[in-house]
Amino acid sequence: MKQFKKMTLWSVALVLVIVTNSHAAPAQYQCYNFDDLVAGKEYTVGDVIDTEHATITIKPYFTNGTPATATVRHAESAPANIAGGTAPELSLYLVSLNVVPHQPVTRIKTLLAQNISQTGDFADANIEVNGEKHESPRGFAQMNGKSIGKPGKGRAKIRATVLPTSANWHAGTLEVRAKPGEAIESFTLGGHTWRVDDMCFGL
Amino acid sequence: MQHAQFPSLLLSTAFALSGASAAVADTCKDVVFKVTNNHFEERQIEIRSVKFRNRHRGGAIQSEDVPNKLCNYGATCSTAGDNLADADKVDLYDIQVVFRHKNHDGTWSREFITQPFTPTYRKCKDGKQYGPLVVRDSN
Repeated sequence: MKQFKKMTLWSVALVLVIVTNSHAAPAQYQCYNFDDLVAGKEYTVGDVIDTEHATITIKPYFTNGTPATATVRHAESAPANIAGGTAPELSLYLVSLNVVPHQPVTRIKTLLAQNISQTGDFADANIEVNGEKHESPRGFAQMNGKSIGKPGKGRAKIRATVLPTSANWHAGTLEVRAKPGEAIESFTLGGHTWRVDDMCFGL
Repeated sequence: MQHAQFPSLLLSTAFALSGASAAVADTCKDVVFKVTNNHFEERQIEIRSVKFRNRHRGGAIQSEDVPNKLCNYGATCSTAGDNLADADKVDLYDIQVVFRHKNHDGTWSREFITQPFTPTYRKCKDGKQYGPLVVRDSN
């Protein structure tokens, strides 16, 4: 009986290990570091950045449901490493970044930074996964632990570790993981003044 | 018949009056916006206009041109005082300052806009001061 109990426990443990491993890091990440963008070239709403692994489109950024329409809204390569990678990185102002991987992926993770709010707190940010959109009043940091994605199109869980890194910036990593058996086909992030670098896709 | 009509008339008048008061608020006079210039490149800025959401207008964004005001790095500057239409005793929020900064060659940049600022006390009244709003970045 004791032997049986022991074996049962080992079996349960084995199953747990297998299940855990099936959701562990994907076999490979394919990353894009924004290094090939021409310095000084500005991208505005509607512009497309073609990369090896995904099509990235500049989209409007929303606050309280209203899109920012200022003519100054844009994205451009910046010779900085505020997001935490190596220079250059992509600097974004009043725009969102819609990412459609060339094939559905199980994970997307990226380095990012966000300028602090008027009160020195986390500033408003946008996210979209598989068609479900949200505004996050307390920035990318507040997205941590949330599930997102239109049912039937693929749900995913957000992991965000975004912390104060300098007087004006919060920076860190945001990762979106598809629920088991599901995939990410579309992913959008947006903010007022923010940076992004080293965006990786897990197959 | 006349008795039946009278209350209806009163009711319509009341609706009309309440509708009229909901449609237009008075002008909120001599409103000042304070701006602190903490530009990350320590640039001088010029305050050009102010945008805010007006609760009375269903949260629509309202733009107010202010007399251009230069503001040196590190300073807190105040706009001259503006009369805001349809804003008296109305909550104003998501206030943003439109500014430009001085380039290294002495020319002015294009216009940028700060992140929204929502004050603790939002109601506009004559002589109200909002802010300070902080200019930190313009890229």
